[in-house]
Amino acid sequence: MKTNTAASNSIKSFRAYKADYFGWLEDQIGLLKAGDLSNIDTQNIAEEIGSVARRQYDCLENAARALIYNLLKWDLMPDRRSASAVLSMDAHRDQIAHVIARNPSLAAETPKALGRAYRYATYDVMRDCDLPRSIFAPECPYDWEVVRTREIVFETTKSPSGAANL
Amino acid sequence: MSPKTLDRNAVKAGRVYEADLYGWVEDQVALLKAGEVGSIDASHITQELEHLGRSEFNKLVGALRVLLLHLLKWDYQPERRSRSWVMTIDTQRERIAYELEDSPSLKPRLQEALQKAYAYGLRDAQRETGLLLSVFPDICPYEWQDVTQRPVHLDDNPS
Repeated sequence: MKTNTAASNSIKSFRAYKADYFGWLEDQIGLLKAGDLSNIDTQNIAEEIGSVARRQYDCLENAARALIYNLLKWDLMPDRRSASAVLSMDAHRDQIAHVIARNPSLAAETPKALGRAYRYATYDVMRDCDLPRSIFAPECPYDWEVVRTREIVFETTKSPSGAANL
Repeated sequence: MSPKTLDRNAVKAGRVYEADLYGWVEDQVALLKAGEVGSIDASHITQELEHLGRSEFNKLVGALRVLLLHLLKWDYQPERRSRSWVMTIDTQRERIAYELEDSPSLKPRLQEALQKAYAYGLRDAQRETGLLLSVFPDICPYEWQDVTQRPVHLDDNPS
């Protein structure tokens, strides 16, 4: 009891997470650097560190959403295929590869990311292409491997003269 | 090295920050929630908190930058004043107020934020107005009071 009171008294002198976020950060950084680990605010540090992981996950889900959006359009509206759609898919595949390389453990979350990204992507396609909800399968028709690696080739019919040998 | 030290190092190892950020977070969060502070990766946690502190400061600078740009345009291109400028000024003032409400400890760094934001805002203003850089003051001409409170109203009958 006595030690508890002493500890809570010393904690009181630190700025509170809810009342002063920047001050709280300064205090926690100070404690960590001083090695005074028994006084750190473990629960709120856990919360803040957790947000780092959530951002990594969001980055994966957002890239998957953009990629699936382009894949759906590619398959549903073949007459509207374009070189820029291919570039966009390549860019988002690079982004996914980069996030997974930085966070190998995130691979375990890919089924969740795929499911959510597909659901959002269907709304994006419905809106942008004026397509009815009924044409979309309830579950993502592409598995993760397909999303990441299916070959996408755009054969341009118009080849502007002079630009071909760049 | 005693076997005890070795054990503790083994626990600390967990998933490595540089190799697997997401896994590292999972491990650190579990350790923190369990109160096992002796086993946490304190130096990388410090690094992440410092990063959050910088973003917090930069959010303030970002809002000030947009605000200063619009105050400069307001003062140096009065003929172009618009309702949208007034709205931008109001919005950024609100953001700054909220930011300081959440983090009162940013207050000692307001002058630093203001100077940094002015350097950016100045270049933005030059680009957007097409005026010469020499038209604008080198250092921020606005006191904190002006920045956050000077009334900005659109006259109903300009000219």
